[in-house]
Amino acid sequence: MPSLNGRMIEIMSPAGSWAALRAAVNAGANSVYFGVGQLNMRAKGAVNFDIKDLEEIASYCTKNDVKTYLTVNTILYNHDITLMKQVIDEAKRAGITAIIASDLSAIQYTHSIGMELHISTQCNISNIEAVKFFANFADVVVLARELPLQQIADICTAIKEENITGPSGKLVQVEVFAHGALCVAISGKCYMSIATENSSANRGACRQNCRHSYKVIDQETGDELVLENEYIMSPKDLCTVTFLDKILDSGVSVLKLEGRGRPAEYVDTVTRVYREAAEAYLAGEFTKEKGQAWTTELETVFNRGFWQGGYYLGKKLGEWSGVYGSKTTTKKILLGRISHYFVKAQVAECTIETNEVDLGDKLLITGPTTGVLYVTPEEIRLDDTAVKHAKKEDVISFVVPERVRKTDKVYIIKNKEDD
Amino acid sequence: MSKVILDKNNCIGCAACTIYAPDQYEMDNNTGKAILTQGKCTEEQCNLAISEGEIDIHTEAAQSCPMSCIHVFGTDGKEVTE
Repeated sequence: MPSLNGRMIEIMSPAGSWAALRAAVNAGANSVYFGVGQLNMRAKGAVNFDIKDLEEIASYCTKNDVKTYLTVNTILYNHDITLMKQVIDEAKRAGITAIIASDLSAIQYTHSIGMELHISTQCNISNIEAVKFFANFADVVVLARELPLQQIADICTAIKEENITGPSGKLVQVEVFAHGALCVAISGKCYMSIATENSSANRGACRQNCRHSYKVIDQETGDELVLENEYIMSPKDLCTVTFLDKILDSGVSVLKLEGRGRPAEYVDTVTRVYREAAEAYLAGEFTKEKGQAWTTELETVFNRGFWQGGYYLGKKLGEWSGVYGSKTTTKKILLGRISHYFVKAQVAECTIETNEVDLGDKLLITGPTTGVLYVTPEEIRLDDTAVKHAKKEDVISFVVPERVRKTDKVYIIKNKEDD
Repeated sequence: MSKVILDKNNCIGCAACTIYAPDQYEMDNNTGKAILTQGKCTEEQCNLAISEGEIDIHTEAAQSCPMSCIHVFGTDGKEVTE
């Protein structure tokens, strides 16, 4: 974990799949968070893990010195209580580091069995008294993502001055959202999806209809508001990398990267960038120029445009996405799958299933065990001959310095502006 | 005979079906998932033969399900809820 004079900064990455989890670990995450089954806020969206995976997740991450956090953060009904207890019991048995919860029943139960607990942002913690209350149960609190930076700093200062400790006896740690999607609702407490499509966001089934474009019409007069942008409920994504120094100056310990529904290459890029930025901060080498370079790198993966500042810097209204979907500067084009890897020669064989590849193309190789690997082959061979171009149904081979696996998918990464 | 199949794997336990068809569906307190009250249930799914007159209420429950777990089939074997 990046540290200086005892100051630790934890990069916490999303893991919606094995590929994303391994990508996070390889990219330098200090912790990963994930859900199993139905009681998590990505029950519908992401490829969730199964409860049977907990042991393997804990084992793999512990070996790599990465903490594991299981989200049990939906609202819970009476009929969920038995399952909630089973899931948390199994997490403890499997060696998962902590539970992230928001419903008081899950908070109470996790605490009662002596398991480490983190309070989810769904609890909307916005002041020091709320922190003191939750410190009775939890060692980490995620603050409301709508808090201005000064209020975050005041809370961090008060925790030290008033010696507010969690069940472990250590000072309560403060976690904030550092990067990723924001939604129009306060702390994610949204009823739009259930009101319009009977699909509850608070049960992990958000339909994201706030991301659509809308018109605003006065039904009495029929007048339509003239809007610069029809995406009036879809904020840009949060990006703090240009002012991460200010975030860290406030005293927060954990930087949460949003994106359990995102693919492994997103997790890889975002984790690497924030890890590098945190290390630069601790080394006294954080600069605006680096911030710009990191932003450019973050733009290569999914984003709705960046709200540089978020609520933290009290930006004015108007940071709406203006787009449905991503503004990423790159796109990935499926090429095929790895059909063999020659370990000694470090050569991968790829069967091209669609599209064509040219020498010099940047390739992304991804799979559940491989995670994410980028390679730009210096030579592509087809039938033992070096070629500059290959097409569908060709079986090509090229050097890949790290091991990849059969059935890993291979994509070409292209800049959108090259189209 | 018509029938209804409830796919338990995808159920997220939101209980919407029990609101729309309270006599036909209930929540299983052990799994947190919905079940067909009169149905034959395994870990994966519940099955129930229904009369033609019951198709509407099950279709309503199916349409309320955000995860499309409920599938109603008419006497011709075709899915009504597709």
